[in-house]
Parts: sequence; C-alpha cells; structure tokens
Amino acid sequence: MNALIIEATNDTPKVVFDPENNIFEILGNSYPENTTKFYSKILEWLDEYKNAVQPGSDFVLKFSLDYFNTSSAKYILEVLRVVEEIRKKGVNAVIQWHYLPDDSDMLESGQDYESSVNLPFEFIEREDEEDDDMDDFF
Amino acid sequence: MKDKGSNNSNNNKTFEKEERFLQEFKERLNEHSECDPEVQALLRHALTQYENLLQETKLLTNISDKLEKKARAQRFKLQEQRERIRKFNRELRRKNQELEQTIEALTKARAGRKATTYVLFLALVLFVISELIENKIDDMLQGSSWANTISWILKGFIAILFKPVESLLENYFVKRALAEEQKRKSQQKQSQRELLNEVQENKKTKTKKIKKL
Repeated sequence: MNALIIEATNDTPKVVFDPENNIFEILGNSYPENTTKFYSKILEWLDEYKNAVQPGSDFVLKFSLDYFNTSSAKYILEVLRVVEEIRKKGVNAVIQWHYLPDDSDMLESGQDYESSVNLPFEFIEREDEEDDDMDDFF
Repeated sequence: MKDKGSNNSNNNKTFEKEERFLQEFKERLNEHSECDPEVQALLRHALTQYENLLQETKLLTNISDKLEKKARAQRFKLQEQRERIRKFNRELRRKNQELEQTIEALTKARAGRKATTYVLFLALVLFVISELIENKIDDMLQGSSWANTISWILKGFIAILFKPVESLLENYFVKRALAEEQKRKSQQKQSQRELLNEVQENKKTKTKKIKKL
C-alpha cells in the first residue's frame, strides 16, 4: 500500500501515513482553506488501509497539533472514528496526543476526543522546539 | 458516547433546550409504544442520529471554545511583545541619538585640540617672523620711536588673529572628521546591502535547486 505524505504549509499540517515504516502522524497547524478537500484524502487513505490491514498489527497515530479550526476538529473526529473501526478489526490502534507543556487547551481538547471515541489515548508532553517567548531577546 | 462531566457543564447549559427536547421525545416515544413498529423503528433511528449529532456538536463547540481561548491568548501575547519591541526600538533610537551627539562632541573636542596645536605652532612661527621683521624695521628706521610702535602693532595684530585662525582651523577639522564619518557610514551601508543581496541570491539559487529536485 502506498504511503500518504503531505508536506506542511502555513495552514495545513504535515501528514505522514507510511505503513511500510509504521509511521502515522499529523503534525502542525490545521485551518485549511478547503478542509473537506484536505481531509478527504486522509479519510480515503484510512478507508483503504482499514481494508488492507491485518488483525494483530500495530497502528499508532500521532497527533501533534498547535492549532486547528472548528471544521478541522470535526474531521479529526471523523479520522478517529475510522481508527475506531480499524481497532474493531483487531488492530492494536493507539492515539498519541502530543502537546506543549504550557498548552493545557490542546491537552484538554485531546481529552475531549478521548471521551468521545472508544480508543486508547496516550498524552505526551512534547519539547518546545522553538522558543516563541522573546524574553531572551530582551 | 461517554459524557465528559464537569468540563462540559457550560456546554450542557448551551445545549439545554436541545437536551430537553431529546429527553421529551424519548419519553413520548416510549409512551406511544403501541404505534406502527416500522414508524417506531424509524423514529428511534432518527432519535439516535439526533443524539449523536448533539453529542458531536457539544464536543466540537467545547474544543472550538478552548482553541479560540488559546488563539486569543496568543494574540494578546503577540500584542504585548509588539509593544515591548516598540518600546525597545524607541529606547534604541534615543540611545543612538545620544551616542551620535557624544561622538559629535568628541569629534569637535578632538578637532579643537588639533586646531590649538596648529595655532600654537603658527604663533611660534609668527613670533619668529615678527622678530625678524622688527629687526628689519629697527634697521630701516634707525632707533625712531615709530619702530617700537610698529613692533607693538604687529604683535597685537598677530595676537588678535589667534582666535579667528583657531576657529577656522577647528571648523575645517570638524568638517573633515564629519565627512570621513559619513563616508565610513555609507561604506558600511553599501557592504550591508551587498551582503543582503548575496543572501537573497543564495536563497533564490537554493529555491531553484529545490524546485528542480
């Protein structure tokens, strides 16, 4: 099965769905101009994967988002629903929800999703790659 | 769907009317259990769909509220940082102005010292020349009382000339120093421009290479 790789832009996240290397991740910001068009590619790929995947295999989907708009929030839920179906097929599906240490809103958003779907969630505090605080500058 | 509990308390109030409608509809559907089973099944399906939709709406509203709050906080932080940068720039400009004034005063003082040295040297030369001239006049007038007067006038004239000559020299040196400073600054700007052009050129080449790849 071919990998799905979409490079990040200012308003869309980086998407890597690579079954060969077992990497499944959505990283960055998500507020696309056309959310339906952007997420339909992901959903189509996941549907295809759902049909091709063997029971007992591992599937860890990593979300590392800084910001997403409401329509993206809806599509993330759709993605999670498909992952739920994948899990029902006997796949060890786990969601890794990465968030910045001071970003409690993102953590809580992940917890909201956790309460809405039947999937195991791992909440991982990620390191701040770039210091967006300008205190050092001053 | 599981319920989130306390986190959704605000959300529950927002969707109170819809929740009430759902509850009432469920109760009424149970009361009319004797109606056509096909209709009953259809209504139950519609009710489940409505319930799911309501839960989804509550979830999305909850998440959106949180992210909106985050975006607002980021905007506020950005505004604060912008204000700090503005203040920092103002302070920088003021300090720069002070520095320029100090440099100018220093340049003037240095030019003044240089002019004084030149004038002192000139005074020495003029003193020697005036002595020579006086001797010449003494020889020409053969001990006349005019010789003394002319000598004093000559010395007085030289003494009066000191200050304007010093000012002229000082102005000249200051102008020269400022012109040199200006030249140095424009050279610095030119080299900065060249460096910037070089960086932009490199960036363009890299972008072209990436596009080719």
